[in-house]
Amino acid sequence: MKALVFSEKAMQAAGVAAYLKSVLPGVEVSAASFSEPSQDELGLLGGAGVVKVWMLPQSAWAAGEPSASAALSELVAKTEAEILAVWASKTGNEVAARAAQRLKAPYASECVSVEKTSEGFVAKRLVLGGGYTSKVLLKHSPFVVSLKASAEVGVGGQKPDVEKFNVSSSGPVIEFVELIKPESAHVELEKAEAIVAVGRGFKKKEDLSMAEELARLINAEIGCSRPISGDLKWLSEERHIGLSGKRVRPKLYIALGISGQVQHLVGMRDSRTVVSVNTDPNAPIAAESDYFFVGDVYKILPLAITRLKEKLGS
Amino acid sequence: MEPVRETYGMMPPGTDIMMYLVLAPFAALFVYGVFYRVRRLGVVNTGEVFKGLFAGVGYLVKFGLLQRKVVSERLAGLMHLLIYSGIIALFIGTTLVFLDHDILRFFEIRILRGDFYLFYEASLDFMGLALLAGLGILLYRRMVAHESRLRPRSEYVMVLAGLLFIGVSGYVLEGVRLAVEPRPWGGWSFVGKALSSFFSAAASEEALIAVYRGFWWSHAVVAFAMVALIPYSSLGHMFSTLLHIALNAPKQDPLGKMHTPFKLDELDPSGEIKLGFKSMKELSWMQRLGLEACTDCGRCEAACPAFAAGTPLSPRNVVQKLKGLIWSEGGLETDVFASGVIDEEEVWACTTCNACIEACPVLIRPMDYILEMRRSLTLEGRLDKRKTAMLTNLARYGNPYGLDSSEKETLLAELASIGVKTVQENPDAEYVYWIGCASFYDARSREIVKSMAKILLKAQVSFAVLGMEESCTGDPARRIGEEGRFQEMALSNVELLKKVKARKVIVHCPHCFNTFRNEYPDFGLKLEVFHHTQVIGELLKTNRLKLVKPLALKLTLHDSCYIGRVNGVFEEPRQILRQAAGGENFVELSRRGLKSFCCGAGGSTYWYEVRRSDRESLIRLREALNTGASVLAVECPYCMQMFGDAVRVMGAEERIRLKDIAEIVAESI
Amino acid sequence: MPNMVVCVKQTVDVYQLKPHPETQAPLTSQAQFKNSDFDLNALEEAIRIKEKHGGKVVVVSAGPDVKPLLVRECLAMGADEAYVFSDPVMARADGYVSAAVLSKLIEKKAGGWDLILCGEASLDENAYQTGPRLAELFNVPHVSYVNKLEWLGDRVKAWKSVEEGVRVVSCKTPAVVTVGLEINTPRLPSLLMIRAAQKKPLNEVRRAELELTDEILTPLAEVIEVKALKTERRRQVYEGKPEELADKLVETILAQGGGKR
Repeated sequence: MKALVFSEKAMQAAGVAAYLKSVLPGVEVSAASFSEPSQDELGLLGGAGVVKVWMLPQSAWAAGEPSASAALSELVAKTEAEILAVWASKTGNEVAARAAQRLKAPYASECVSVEKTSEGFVAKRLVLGGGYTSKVLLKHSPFVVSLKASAEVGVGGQKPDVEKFNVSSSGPVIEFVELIKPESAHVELEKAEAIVAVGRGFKKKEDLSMAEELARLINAEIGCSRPISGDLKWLSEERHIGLSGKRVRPKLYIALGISGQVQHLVGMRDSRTVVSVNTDPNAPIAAESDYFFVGDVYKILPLAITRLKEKLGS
Repeated sequence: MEPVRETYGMMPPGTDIMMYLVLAPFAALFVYGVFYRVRRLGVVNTGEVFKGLFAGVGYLVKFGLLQRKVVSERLAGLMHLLIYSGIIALFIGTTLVFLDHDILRFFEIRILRGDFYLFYEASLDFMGLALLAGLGILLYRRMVAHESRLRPRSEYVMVLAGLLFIGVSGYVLEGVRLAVEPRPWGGWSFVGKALSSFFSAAASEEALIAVYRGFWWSHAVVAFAMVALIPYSSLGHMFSTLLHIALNAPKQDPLGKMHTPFKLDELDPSGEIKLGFKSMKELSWMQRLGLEACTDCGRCEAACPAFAAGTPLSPRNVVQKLKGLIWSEGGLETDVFASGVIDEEEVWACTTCNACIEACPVLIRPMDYILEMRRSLTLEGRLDKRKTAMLTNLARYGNPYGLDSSEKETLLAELASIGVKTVQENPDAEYVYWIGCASFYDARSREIVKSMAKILLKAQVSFAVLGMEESCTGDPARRIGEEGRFQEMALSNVELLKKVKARKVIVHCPHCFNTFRNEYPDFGLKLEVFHHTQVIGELLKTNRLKLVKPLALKLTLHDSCYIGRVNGVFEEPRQILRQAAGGENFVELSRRGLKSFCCGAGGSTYWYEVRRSDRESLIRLREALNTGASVLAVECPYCMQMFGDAVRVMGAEERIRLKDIAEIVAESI
Repeated sequence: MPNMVVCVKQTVDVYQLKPHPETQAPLTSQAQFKNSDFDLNALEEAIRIKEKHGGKVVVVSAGPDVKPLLVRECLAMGADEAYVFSDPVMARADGYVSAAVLSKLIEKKAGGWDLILCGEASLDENAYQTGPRLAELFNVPHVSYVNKLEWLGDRVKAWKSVEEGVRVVSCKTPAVVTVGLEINTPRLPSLLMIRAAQKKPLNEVRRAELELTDEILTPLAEVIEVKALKTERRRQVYEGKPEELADKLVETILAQGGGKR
């Protein structure tokens, strides 16, 4: 069984390769690259078990996603790979979809897992707003998946061979104009995987630094209830979660000192798991929590931050 | 010798003819101005005007002649009353002279003689003083007190100077006349008499006569000029306001009822679709007259909670800007939003609290214009994400929160457990208790229903709830301008309420209350609607309910807009609170009753944000904290939510607690 | 003046969806349907381009049970006409089938076009496929994840969101563009406008007219199971000393996936 992995970044390609190796024993994994991989990158890919790197022309990448997917399709066809696995970045999804169409191949996007069952290859993905999992049977090969799953990359494997691959096909051209790097990190609360939300349990603006520290440690975004952004202006309006703010659905929602007025609840109740800290055990947020800690954020949070630093080692 | 008016005394012969010649151009200017304004307003049918004036005579007397609302503000009211009555008296005085000298004299009749003339002289001197006193207050308000809502305009300087000159020069003329030609009855002109001794001491007779003639002409010319100015200046308000009061006031909907522009079930979908307005030409001339009547007095602005909270809205500015469009070149066709005359945020900031309507001394309804402009924006879907979400929620889930209707089960189960029946279980119940979305979906507001249910059960009132079938009344849709959606919801609710044969309905949400009471009759449903405070009040009065555990706390009451100002329920809540807490423990907020100050949630503003520097609920909570009360009693679940946030923002949880009146009562039975 | 086609999918309202208490499968039959959010952004963008440059906006929609009322909402927003393929076979459609059907609808019914606009993904499937697939079928360029778009006559310029920021690109038309939620706020058609849209053409198209064979309508990827991730809140309450609570809190956060990069 042969698989081809691709991502713009070698790190992610290696993660995908390692994942395929871990779930599909015996798979032979090659990687596709539109640029000459560095020795470090080859080391990474080797560590993930990649045996070969196909080097596609840089020009196919520069001409944009349609062209890149045409090149990848051609490579899949030529190498008779059964699986094209792409890291599910935004660009990855685009390229994968277009390649799947070109190959008339079954395709499942943004998969959290792939497995081989008696019926065939089955990919698992999140659907219906993220609250449901869907199992998709990929009915023939070659098939395409874009993966959000990766596995730990080993160290010290054999570096893969690099071989150039000349493509004959091309796609319509997309011209690159410029890349605008965000000036200040644009808050995309709606897409955040974890959110630390603060409410009036915090008495002073400076104290929010505790919540910010927690958010930094667990890689979460900061959100808040209306009083914090609307009235006290401690945080910007784009962090306001609720009826007159944003409606979020992270995997983990940590509500600190939020009582849970309906105003706020409407914005966060689609969160997968809700953890709250509040002094009042009868606060409405309690009914919306999976884990409710009765206590003062001022006492619990500093201790928790210290503890978290020990555990995460930073 | 009999006292008699000596018109044109001390003036050379022929002055009367001269005077009419001088008057003629001023009169022509006046007449031209009046016609110009009436035509610009777009009056098409003058017959309509006269019929309207006749029909509105009661309003004219009450709000025009007697100035019922003008005087409700003490200093400004006194000022206006003095100037108004002064000018009217002087005008009547001058008219009598005209009758006496220029008409009746030719029939050898004199009216300004004898005792009547003496009374005439004394009262005119007195009313002249009233005018000057009024102008004095005016100067005080502008130059000393610097009332911030009063705006300077160059035109005002001219009008004020003119009025002052007429008042003062009248006395000078009288004084000089009595100095040169003293009369035994001169004492009746008490101001003139006092001045005359000063004048006779100050100058020779020739000089005085010269001064007299100069003042006589300038007095006359300034007076004519003021008349000519009427249609061109703020003085025009004396006609525009009266016309507006007579023509528009009798036709105004009751407070709380928005105009129903069409009936959804009778609508022809292929017809032209129009709703609200975006330019002046879309208004009827009567509606434009309502703008024209604005005197820029600023009372609505002073009463407006959105203005106080630093939003872009001032109802006075809205009206003045629209009024300006009537007179500007091409203004009638101008799109108010595209041109930037009106900022959309102004229109969205309105909480529909009706305070501007209550404040207006000449019965203008700024809020109505604001809501009509909203309708035009909503018709085209020019709404931001939050407003769009609210309307989508109403359409999809039947509640503005966007929560699934299955969540109603939580509350219904709790109610069932204490013995509350649904209309299916108790079809013969006397009252239907309408719960309202806030109390279905907000945990805090559920306590209100539970308390009220306890009270009703205790007093053995026969009532039932609608259960899962209840949905939003449509109030937020109507107030945000989505009339079609409102009517769709109203029609389905009317059908539901008819199906369960509801006659009497209890509600604790003032917005539901208002919609049932004032707006559903247009859709074929007349209910007896009771606010829960009215029901509790009645139960206490008839002793079906007794308060046994009085609340030993100092408490104050926030009158909600839609129970208080709009629907006039003021007494019951107070009577209940006095009984619950003891009269001495009940303190009033400084702004109360008709002048109560909105919490900031009304008119669908609860569902979106408007740029602002403060919040209505915070302003109001500060007032409540100043009373020293430890409980703020409310009668609306939205006031409760707004003040709940305000208490948290101010960190005042220890100092003041929020309770609905039903909760206070439920605790003491 | 661009002729534009907007693909609008009707999806189940995921906010309201409830799972079956035992099987955990979504109770789709009880749920309400709506126009997929991203697709409304695409439609709004097309209408804005039309308001600025003129042209025409055609809505195409395919699904197992396309609701005319929802299509009428699109017309009320400002689309000129709509072509609808409503067929139970679409219940099993994957990205391959959907793109094939839409391409036939566009080719056979919508006439010549300069720009196809789609949402970057659908609310229910979240698959990010339709746009690129359509572009491949028509062999034209596509740009996905667009949050700002300019129509330049024979080209479009697009600001697309990528992990590193915003990539500005341009391509020749005809082209396919898929848009994100940030690109605009779709106007909400008022009830009166929806009623008035009854005057606009809404055409139902049958399978035969589109020459759709069984082969085209057979999905390559088949959904074999959909299950809810969770149902009720656990409502686990912890009380105790701050130290214990802090430890438990950290443990809970880490167990729930907090701290993952």
